[in-house]
Amino acid sequence: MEKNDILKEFLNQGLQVDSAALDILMDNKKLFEEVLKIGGKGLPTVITKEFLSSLSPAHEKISVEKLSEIVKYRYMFIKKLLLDKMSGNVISINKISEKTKDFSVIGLVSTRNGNITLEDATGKDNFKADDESSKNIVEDEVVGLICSRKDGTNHINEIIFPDIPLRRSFTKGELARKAIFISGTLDKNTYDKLVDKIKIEHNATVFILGGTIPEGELKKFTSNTPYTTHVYTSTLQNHPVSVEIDTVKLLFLNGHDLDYYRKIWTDFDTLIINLLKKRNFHPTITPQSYDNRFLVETVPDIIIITDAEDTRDLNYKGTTILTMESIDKKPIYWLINLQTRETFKTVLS
Amino acid sequence: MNVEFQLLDCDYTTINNKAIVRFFGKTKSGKSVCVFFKGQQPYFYISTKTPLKVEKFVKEKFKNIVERIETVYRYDPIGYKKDKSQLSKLILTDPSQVPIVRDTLQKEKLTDEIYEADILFKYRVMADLGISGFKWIEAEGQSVRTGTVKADIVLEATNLKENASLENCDLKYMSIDIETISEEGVPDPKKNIIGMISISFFPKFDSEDSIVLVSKLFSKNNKSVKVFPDEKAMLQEFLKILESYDPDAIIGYNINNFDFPYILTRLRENNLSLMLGRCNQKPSSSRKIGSYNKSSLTGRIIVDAYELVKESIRKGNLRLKRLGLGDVSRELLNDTKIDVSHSEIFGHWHGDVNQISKLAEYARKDSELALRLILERGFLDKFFELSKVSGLLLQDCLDGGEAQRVENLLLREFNKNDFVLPCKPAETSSTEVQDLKGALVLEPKTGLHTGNIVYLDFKSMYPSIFIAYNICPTTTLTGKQYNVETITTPYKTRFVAKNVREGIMPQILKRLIDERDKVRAEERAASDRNVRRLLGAKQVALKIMTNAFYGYTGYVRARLYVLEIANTITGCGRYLINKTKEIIEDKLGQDVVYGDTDSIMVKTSDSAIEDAYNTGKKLENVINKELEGIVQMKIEKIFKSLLILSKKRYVGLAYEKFNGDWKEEMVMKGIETVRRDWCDAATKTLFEVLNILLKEQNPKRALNYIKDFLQKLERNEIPIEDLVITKSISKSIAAYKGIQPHVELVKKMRKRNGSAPGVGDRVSFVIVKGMQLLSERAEDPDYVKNNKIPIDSKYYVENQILPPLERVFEVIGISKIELLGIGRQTLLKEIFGNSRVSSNGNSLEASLDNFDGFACVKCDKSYRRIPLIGKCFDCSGEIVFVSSNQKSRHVESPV
Repeated sequence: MEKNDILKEFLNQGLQVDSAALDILMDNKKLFEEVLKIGGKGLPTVITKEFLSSLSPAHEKISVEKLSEIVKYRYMFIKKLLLDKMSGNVISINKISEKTKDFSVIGLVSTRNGNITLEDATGKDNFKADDESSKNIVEDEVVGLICSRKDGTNHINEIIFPDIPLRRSFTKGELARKAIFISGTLDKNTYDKLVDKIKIEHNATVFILGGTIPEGELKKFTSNTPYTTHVYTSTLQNHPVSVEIDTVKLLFLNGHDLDYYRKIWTDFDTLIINLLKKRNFHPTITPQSYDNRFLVETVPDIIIITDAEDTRDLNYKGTTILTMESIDKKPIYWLINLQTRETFKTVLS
Repeated sequence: MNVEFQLLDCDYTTINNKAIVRFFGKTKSGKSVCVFFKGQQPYFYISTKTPLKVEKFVKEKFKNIVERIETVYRYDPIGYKKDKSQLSKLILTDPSQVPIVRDTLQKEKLTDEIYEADILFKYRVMADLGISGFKWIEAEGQSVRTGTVKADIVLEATNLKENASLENCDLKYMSIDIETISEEGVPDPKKNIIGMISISFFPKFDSEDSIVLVSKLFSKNNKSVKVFPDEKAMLQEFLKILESYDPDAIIGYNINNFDFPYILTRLRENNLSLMLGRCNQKPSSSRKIGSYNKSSLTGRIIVDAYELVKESIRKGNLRLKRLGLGDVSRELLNDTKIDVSHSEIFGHWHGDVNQISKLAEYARKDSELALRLILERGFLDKFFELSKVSGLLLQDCLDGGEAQRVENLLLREFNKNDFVLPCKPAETSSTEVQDLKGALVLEPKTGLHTGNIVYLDFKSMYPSIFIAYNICPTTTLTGKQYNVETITTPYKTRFVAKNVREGIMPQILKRLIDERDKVRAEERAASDRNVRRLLGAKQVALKIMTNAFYGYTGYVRARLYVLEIANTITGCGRYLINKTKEIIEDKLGQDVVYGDTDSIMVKTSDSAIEDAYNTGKKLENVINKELEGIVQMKIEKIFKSLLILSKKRYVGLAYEKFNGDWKEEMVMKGIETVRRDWCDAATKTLFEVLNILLKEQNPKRALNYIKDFLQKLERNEIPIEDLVITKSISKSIAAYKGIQPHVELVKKMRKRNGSAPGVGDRVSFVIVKGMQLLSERAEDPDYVKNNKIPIDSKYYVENQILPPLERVFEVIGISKIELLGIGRQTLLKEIFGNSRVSSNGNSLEASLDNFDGFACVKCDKSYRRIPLIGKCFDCSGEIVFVSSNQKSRHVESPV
């Protein structure tokens, strides 16, 4: 199969395909036909290698070494970020001795039961923290600790999180393009309202996340919205998904991805910002989440969280965070002018 | 008065329509010499059915040009003929008139054939006098005073004699580099001035190693930086230095195509003298021939270090990825240029004192590096000797090809033996080589061979075939049947036997081979390092000349292009290789794994190198006995391990006996290890994999190494410097059509902060992650570092690291899928045949469907997740998966 033919086919359906998946499909016509058969409804916005794997569940042996590499990778990645922030005396854990006084360490949190056990590539040690400062630490995240040692105990003076850079360039789209984000499936009524609204938007990219539009309406949708260049519509499988439009980096998350942390931070804004500060939307490792999918390697310009409790916007150090409920619960969508980065919460009424 | 000098250059001048030959050279004491030699006349031969008519025509038409016509008898150059033919020898007065007379005779249809009418007069004279380029000459004559040439000694010789001294005189080298001032684009010599000329000297000039001339009064003058109010004043000083230092060789990096023609144009634009050579009447020139320029400078030579580096790479003597002066110097001299990019020059020139000073030092360094490359790397040694062996002048050896060298040698030998040489085929004739059949390449047994493999090759195979079958244009039998003794080659072509007429080519080749054997023996015996170096260069030159003959006979522009001869040589070669294979396999029962042209590789069952060598010796003896009188085979080396990828592509760990000891060397043929568009990581990984495969003979470790590397790449742990790709900007950005990564990056950088590489600069870039087109994802490595932008590891894996490795792994049965770590483990087990077992002997290989946590195999300590160190914190034991008390190294999960 030719690369362009595959891309064209998916684009006609309002879908994107990532390069790894594209490679697989180029060599596997049968799989490509299978994907097409599933059609818009059952397909994710971005066809990924993982999604394709889910269609042909061949089994792979996963080794301990492979998982170990995942842990090492996240440690190394965050360590690099932390080293830039920690100018002091960063030492390896095995170098902490009776003579050590003021020092800093970077490590992976093993346990946090009052005290924190931190490990690095040389060993592990316990660190005493006050309740207030340690409450934002979760297991398996990588942190920097600025400490002092007294009477054989390591006292944490400050906890350093990787965080996102404060002064980074404010990315704006080169073109006067708008992006529209809708969460959930549109019924006929809502759909008609949406088409009426979108008609006036020139040069917009519409993302229908975690849902679809009424069957058979996609072509009509496009023809009814003459200035709309792209419509991406599908369920958000294998989230999170990163997309870049006109150099603006978008990250789509499903609100349920963050459920694990709702016990720790009841306030949703605090939860999102704390996880963003950790540069990982799922730092805790469980047998079900042995991967680095949620690691925030590239800082997104806009984060869209679907299936959230409410529809609201938030800004953290230049990153726009938009949460939204499913459109069947609340007929609201988000519109962003990618060139000015202005956001508009629009009610479909 | 007698003077002994080493010949550097030769030309002629005419006085009263008579030629005077001038020999330029250098004495042992370092004095420059110019020797005039009169009395030589140009001539050529014609064969005609109407000699009287020709004589009448010439007398009428070329009364004062053709002095006389002699009837002579010479052998024809192509095809055996027992007797000499009658020819007319036209002797002229002025060499420049030869083409006119020749063309007129041809036009008037007065000739059947014309011979030697296109031999350059200087070579005609040198051949007649038996003088070769760069050899020592003893001249006997009278000292003369003249203003026409610049030399310490000027002599009018009555007698010239060559002498065979091995040593070379001490030449004076002057290296130059210019900085031109142009705001944008390629500098235009008609418009853009030269801002600086840096000159480095060897030996010193006025006790300085180098001087920089600057055409701007930016600071005070000092001995090593001289400032001038304008370009003209600076160029005048340059001419003064040139005259005063009087160099024998002018060196530069890309001097032929840039510095020298640029200087000539600027001299012309400033109405200054172009007499840069040792003649006061002949302006220096730079002529464009095809894609390069040929510089001409009477009495001196021009040495382009860039051309010599390129030649070394082409011949496989150097492996370099980039050819910029900075990159080459880093590799060869462990030194590099001063960090000023090409696009910064304009800014520096218009900058403050410090910036101009920096630019001056930058220029100085460039000329120093070019000089050091030539002197320290001994690039000229080979050419000194080639000049002596072929007889060509040094400059022509540097600029010309092999055909010119062979022809010069043939001219002398042909004339000595009363043969004439044909003229060169017309330029307009087709260059297509028809029906030239190549050498035999045996089908290789691909894969990794880990036993000892003996590499045998025929000593000078093609030259030996010339000699064994007396193959030469002068001995070939063309059509007519002569009643003479003949030799029929395995290719079924016939040549007259040696006792009837020994071919000129076999004679020359025999002499060259014998001389090389002698020189090699002397080289081995020599204790003086300098003598060994000279002898080493001489034997290389002899080898180059010996091997050039076969190619010459198959070169359509050669005077003696005889396709039948070229085909006979390769045909005999194919026969000999097949015959050798037959002897080894059928008679001796050994296994030939590969053979190409003149070599054969035989796999032995010996585990010790010494034993393999002895086996090789036995093979050598048997083969030499069978092929006695034709060619000689010898053991070249033993491969301890050999990886054959395909025909003409292999790499092996070779052992060669050197003074009784074994010398280890990695031998690579046809495997690209350096490419300009590869990042360093691609080269490093390929070398490392080959190293592991050949030295450790451990494919598994090679595979693990690559997997490990790919994981590191994925984790951004590979230093960004290793991932940098470079490409140069050869024209203005606007002139680029289509999208190219380095061009897109320059546009991006200009938008970002205004400063970006310009024309002539190399752009370094890495490919970063993103959704855009690849060419739009090229990014400045510093910017990537500062902004912590992730690298597109997938690009590097697919386009840089894996392509050179895939073929290597493929022949040892490891597919790309496995390299990427997505192959099934069982397949790896099949290849390596070693299943892992836990320390207590129980198999931990049975996979689990899922897992609850982890545990240490040794002390049973349980873990919620794998410790960062990858092993047990308490006992360093192996960590495995645990599910309901079952342990395993693997869990099965859907892909």
